[in-house]
Amino acid sequence: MNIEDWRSQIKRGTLEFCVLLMIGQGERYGYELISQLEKRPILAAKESTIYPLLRRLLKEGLLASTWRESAEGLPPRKYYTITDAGREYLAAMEAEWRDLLSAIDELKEG
Amino acid sequence: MERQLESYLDTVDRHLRPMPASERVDIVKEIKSELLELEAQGLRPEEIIARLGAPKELAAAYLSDAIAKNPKFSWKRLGSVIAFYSLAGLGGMVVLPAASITAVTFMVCGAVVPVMGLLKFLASLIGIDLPWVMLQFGNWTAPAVLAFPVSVAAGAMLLLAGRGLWRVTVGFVRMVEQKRRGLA
Repeated sequence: MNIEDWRSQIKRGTLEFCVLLMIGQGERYGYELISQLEKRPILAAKESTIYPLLRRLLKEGLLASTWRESAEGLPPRKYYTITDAGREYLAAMEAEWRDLLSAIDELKEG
Repeated sequence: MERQLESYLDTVDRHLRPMPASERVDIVKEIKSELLELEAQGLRPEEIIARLGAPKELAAAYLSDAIAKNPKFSWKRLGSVIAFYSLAGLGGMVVLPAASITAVTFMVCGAVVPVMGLLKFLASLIGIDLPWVMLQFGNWTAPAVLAFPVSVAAGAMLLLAGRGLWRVTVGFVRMVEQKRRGLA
């Protein structure tokens, strides 16, 4: 059994949740999300994962986006915000997550 | 921006060709924004490219995410499948063209057959027999009166077969994608 496989499965399953959580706290741009996740190896995800994911969440109406100019010497950035539908979905995910954690705790206690 | 990075963006753009132009422009602009951000932090072009990975792979990630997460058929998506197949390696060169092209052919036939059946039936009402429309199954040829209901049934079966094959196509893309992610 390879623990790396299991880690990547967890990562795949929770990334959407993490991204919505972060954007739910306030608007973010792509690179900002990636570098925030990078600080935690269990959550780290590459550009080729995050950008297509953001695009899908936009299409599904869970996120909205807008391009804005940045300070001198920095490129314009595409900022993402969460929509009402996104908040609803996030709340549902949080409930499921709590459910999962308490179910595992129960199992441990036997 | 450095030449090396410009050509990186060009390659991504080229591989995204089946996507609508507006979407492509936006994708490339967003990647460019990160390239410039990293450049401003003092990273060298080689380091930036190493971080983002091969441009083909990055484009493939967009294409496969668009295909795999929505199993419904559309012409636009067929374009994405065709583009993805060129990036999906040897298995993709056999399975994807075969499955996607037969899927489309079946669906198109499924749509055309009832129209032709209706034509045959309407023509027979005004006493014209259209010799170039014939519904034949084995030795049995459907009479003009039955042309429309029979052709609707045949069309429905073709559509179902086409949808099934499209599912195979999407399923295959998903499998390739999972393997790719697994390796990463």
